Amino acid sequence: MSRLPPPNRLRPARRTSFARRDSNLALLGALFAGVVIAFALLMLLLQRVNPDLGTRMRGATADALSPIISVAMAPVEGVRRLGALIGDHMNVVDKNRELAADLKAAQRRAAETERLAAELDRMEALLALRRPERRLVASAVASAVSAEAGQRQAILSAGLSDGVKPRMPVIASGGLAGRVTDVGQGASRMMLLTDADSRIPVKVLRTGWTGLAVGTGGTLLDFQFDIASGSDKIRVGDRLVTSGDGGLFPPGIPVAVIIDAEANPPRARPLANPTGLGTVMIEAPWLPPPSFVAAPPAAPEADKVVPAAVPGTAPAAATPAAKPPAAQTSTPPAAGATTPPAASTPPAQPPRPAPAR
Amino acid sequence: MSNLNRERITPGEIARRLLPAGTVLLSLLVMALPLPLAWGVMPNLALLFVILWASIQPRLMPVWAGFLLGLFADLLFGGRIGIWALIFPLAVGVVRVAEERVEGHSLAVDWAFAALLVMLAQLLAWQLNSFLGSSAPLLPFLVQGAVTLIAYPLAATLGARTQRRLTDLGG
Repeated sequence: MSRLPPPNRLRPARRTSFARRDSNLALLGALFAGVVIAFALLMLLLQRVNPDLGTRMRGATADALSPIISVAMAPVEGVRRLGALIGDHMNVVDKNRELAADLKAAQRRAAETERLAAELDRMEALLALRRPERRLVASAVASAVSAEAGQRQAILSAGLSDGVKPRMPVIASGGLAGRVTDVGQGASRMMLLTDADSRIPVKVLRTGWTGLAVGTGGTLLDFQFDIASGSDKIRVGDRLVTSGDGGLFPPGIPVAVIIDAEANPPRARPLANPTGLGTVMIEAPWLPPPSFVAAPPAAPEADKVVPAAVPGTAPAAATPAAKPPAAQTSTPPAAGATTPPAASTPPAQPPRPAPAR
Repeated sequence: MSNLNRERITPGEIARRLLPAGTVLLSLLVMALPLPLAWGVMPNLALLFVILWASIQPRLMPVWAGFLLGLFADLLFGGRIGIWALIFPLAVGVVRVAEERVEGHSLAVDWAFAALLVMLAQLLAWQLNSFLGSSAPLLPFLVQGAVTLIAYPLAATLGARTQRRLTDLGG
């Protein structure tokens, strides 16, 4: 029975090596699992502290994912195109009649618009209005990625090498599509306007009310707004266009059309179909973020100083500030007459002695 | 043990070993397809397969594989990184613990267990999303969970059938 020598320091008891190894492996496995899960938690916490981290990582992967997604998407896109083609052929006559009627109406409106545009140009020239211009950065093909609940995104076939940067608005043929979020070298990722995190400043074209088109993660948008007048209401068919608030999206781009005005908030359908965006334009942010410079303060304007020096008693100009304004009420309309003394007095008095009090 | 491990590595064996991760990867790609679904909510097939494989073939779906697959999902979906990389391995772990305690399988029990797990995972995903500053509403997550549950028997049948075929192939 005693074939094995008794265990000593160099040769410990090798009892049941299978069982021991199994239990060791199980223990190691559990430990490893814990480490992995802890690592995932750590990543989440890091992103909570520094959200840019995730953006950078995702930007780096957009390039790699772009070909995968375009390959996976090819059959779906083909079927969609085929369906659209068949549908087009089926109702081409109806469509033609409809379009002819639309065209007539549009021509009437175009004539009026032309006249108004000319007038607007004249007015703007008179006002010396500086209107920021929209600037196209790149054109790209977008393929929607519908993956996680609440998220609506697409991959764009243009990236950093085309000048695309995060935040840039993306505009499809139907209307606004969303904005760029992550940028890779040759591809980028955009947030569609239906994403649950998307907020787009819009206004109702008919009433001029402003509000936000809020993505829900579904196919529709919520239109959140402050009621501006009690007499009017949002109607089905009202068009929402970008308002230009916030400076990111250029104003006047079609966004959505109201389809349910009774709901609270009203629901709108985006005009650009998020699953079939096709070719899109990526524009620079409409208003670049201002970089303020230290400008010299403006010189005091002569006509602002005038009311301060109104006192009719010209000889007492040395101490006008000490005078109670009530004394000036005797000669209020004589401002024009007293201008010359006013021009000499400004250094002696504070700029605004509040004559209106 | 070491002798038992030293099997012949045939192509069939490789396919068998890669099958679970492969199906999860494939379902992730399917989920990322731009299908014009109403609501745009796809069943969370990847989570379903992770749960299934962790139950059918625990050795081929270890916790770290869940982590890697989840990481890929996060990168593919473009969401906050770490959400699925946390949920997938957690799901694998929970399934494993449950398997140790419960004997036998029946579709109804498995389905109910998966239902609980999927719903918890969807809630956790929603919670983590809001924790990381997203304002995603809860409803899409619940709808996706429900759709996923409906897809369970199909996925289970599919998984079992593929596995059987590959086992035959491996000899």
